[in-house]
Amino acid sequence: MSETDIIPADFAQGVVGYFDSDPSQPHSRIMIPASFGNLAKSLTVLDTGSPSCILNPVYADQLDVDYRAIGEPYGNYMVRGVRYDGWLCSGIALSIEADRGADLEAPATVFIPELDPSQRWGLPNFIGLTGFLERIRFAVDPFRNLFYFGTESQDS
Amino acid sequence: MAGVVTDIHSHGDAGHDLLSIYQQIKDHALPISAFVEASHAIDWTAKDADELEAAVGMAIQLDLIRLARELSALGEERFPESAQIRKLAKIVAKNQGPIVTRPANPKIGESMRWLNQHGAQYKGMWIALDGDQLLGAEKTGEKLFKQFGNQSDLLITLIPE
Repeated sequence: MSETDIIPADFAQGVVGYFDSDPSQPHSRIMIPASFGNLAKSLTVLDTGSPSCILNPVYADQLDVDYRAIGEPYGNYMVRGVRYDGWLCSGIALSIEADRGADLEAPATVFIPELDPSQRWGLPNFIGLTGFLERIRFAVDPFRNLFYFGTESQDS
Repeated sequence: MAGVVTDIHSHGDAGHDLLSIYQQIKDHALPISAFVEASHAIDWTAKDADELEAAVGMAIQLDLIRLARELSALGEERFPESAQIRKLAKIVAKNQGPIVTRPANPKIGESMRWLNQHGAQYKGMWIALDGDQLLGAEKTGEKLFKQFGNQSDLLITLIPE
């Protein structure tokens, strides 16, 4: 590999354009299309600071598994300054959707808030670290708003 | 809603000490490293399954995922019959199953291009797309989720203001 060939040719298997703003907040965010389990895709925030992925509870009601039955109750999960109770569910299939190349799917731990009647979930879904971002390669091209992602050919 | 990571109890002296440190960290009276240090000072081979479960739960609550992995691995080794330790170990596991790749669905590119071209007309609204076909636009996402949420080929999203 020469000094200029920094990234190996097989680094990524997929690429997708991303949006760089979050509709629910005035901050810049990287939002890529992703899907949880059997659900429709959504623009999802890439959040390397989040220990888990987070799924909109209204969305989660359409999952083909009973997440309350398989999940572990979890209290005081902090999301953007607000504490939520909810469920930590392992093994939920999370897929990043490619525009070119290949989609990538891995089972991950997902936090699903349990809202009380006075609460509304006005946030997007989040892709976090545990079981997901910590297992994949990714790179961002901010000049073209492109998100590259991939894995080893032999999963380690 | 009760569970190990919502309903922390003390179990034995070690559990009591860890719980005290955990509560002080939650009260911002101690740094989070105090929990790691205290946990590493405990001889876990002399502790029971309940103590390990509680320690893993507290570690998860403090986002100490690496410590939670260490403790749950020890728990699985010593108490393989404990379904709760297995469940917690899976929650913090790095590898929860194989990574799968599959050819991209062309609809996602169509949807992203549609959003770039037409999204501005739907600012602040939730929309459902099938490729480049608009299926619906609503002020909230609930109706679209209920109608289309389990159709994995579709994209449902909020358009930025």
